[in-house]
Amino acid sequence: MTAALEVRNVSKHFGGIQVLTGASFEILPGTVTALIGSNGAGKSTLLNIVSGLTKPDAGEIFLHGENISTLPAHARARRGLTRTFQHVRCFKTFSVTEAVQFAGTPATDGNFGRSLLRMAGMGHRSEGVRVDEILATCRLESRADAACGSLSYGETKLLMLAQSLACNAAVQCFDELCAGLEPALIEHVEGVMQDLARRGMAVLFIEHNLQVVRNLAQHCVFLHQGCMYRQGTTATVLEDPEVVRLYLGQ
Amino acid sequence: MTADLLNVTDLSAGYGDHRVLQDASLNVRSGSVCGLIGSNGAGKTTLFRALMGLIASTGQVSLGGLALNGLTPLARRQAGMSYVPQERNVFPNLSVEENLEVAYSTLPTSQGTPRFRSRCDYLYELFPRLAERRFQLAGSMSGGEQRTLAISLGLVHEPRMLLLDEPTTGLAPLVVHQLMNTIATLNAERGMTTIVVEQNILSLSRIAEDLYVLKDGRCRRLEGGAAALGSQKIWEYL
Repeated sequence: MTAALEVRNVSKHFGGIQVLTGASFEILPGTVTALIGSNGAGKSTLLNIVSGLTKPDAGEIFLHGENISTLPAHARARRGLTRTFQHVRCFKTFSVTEAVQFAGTPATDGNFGRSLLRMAGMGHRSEGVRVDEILATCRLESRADAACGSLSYGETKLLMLAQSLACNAAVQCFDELCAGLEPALIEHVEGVMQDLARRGMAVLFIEHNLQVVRNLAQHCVFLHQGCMYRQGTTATVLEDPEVVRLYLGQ
Repeated sequence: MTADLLNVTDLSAGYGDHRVLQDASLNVRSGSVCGLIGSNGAGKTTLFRALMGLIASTGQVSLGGLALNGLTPLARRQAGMSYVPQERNVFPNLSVEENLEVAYSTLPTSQGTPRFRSRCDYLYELFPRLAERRFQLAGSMSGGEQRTLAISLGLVHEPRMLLLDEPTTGLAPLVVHQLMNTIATLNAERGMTTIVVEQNILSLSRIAEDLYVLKDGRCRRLEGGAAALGSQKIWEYL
């Protein structure tokens, strides 16, 4: 089976700091992979490189076997690779409905203004973007008309999930989506992500909540100081004595 | 019985017509660590913003007997209250040490290089990772490191009352453990009073002596304190 996403020998430095060294792994369709590691290990940088926001010094990214290393971020999103951000960000004056609709109707060239025009032209008849259904899935239906800027931190995280669902991408990446969510909502988000995998999508997520990692991920990649320290089944990685020593603590 | 440092009575606040806090009251004992839990959107951050004077509110807030009503955020900071938001509020284009310097210089009373140096040294001792990165731009650090810096900015004036909004968000398990130890140390050695909003119940239960639940705009004190965190009843209530 061709990997949905393959990261091959990716390296990156910022100034004098080597952030990533030869990172390689692959994710099959219909599976969930967790990317874990200490703060500063290079997880978000790797996700930035995968999604096309940061240019690596070396290495390549493949999406369903196609080398997408030279494509800009919006082109990767159009081909079916999306991500959310650790630091919550949204269009504060958009309503929640508009923000989700906007995510699902990007212009072919990634131009912000043209995306707005496309959305305005389609009204609520967006191509295949079932906004009401997505808002219900993300428990945001009661906030459909609220301005994004008025959402709480947790609600904004749910909005990011909703926007990712609207893109309907084959590879969906999440950067600490569950951080700051109450336990009941974390459980719900886990269910949504599991459903993505059941539908054949590949999910890659960064997470420090180990219960979430155990519940969701079949595979786990542990980064330490920019190096691929361990990877394998989640249980194997989390029980590795070195992972316990360097990341989990006793 | 230790005296209260913070007294909040009938505090109401919100955004436009949307009332988030409705006559919320709570009392925090001097030198204690108080946990505050509640669902997402319950108003925990709004409570902190109202206590810090960042949004308009009605009701009474006093810190060590001093009424804070009508005081600006800066004046409240001068009175000894400090707020560390959930977001990483750092200056990305300044180095770690420059961030600390900016935060330190916000109070007119905290002038003087020797004292700034001693505060930096103390914070670097608390967070050794920041010492390693002291000349690095904050924006180039990882999310967790920026979070640690944001907490340090809140500590730079050695506040009497620290409001910590979900401090463990984005931190690795080992770092969470260390941070909770640090809060406990600040509490034990410096007598700092802290309110911690946290979804990480396990971590909270390690340090919080008293516990409040925020629901429907009101604070309810939970008998049994942090020991009650394991109780299923809390989650049913939430």
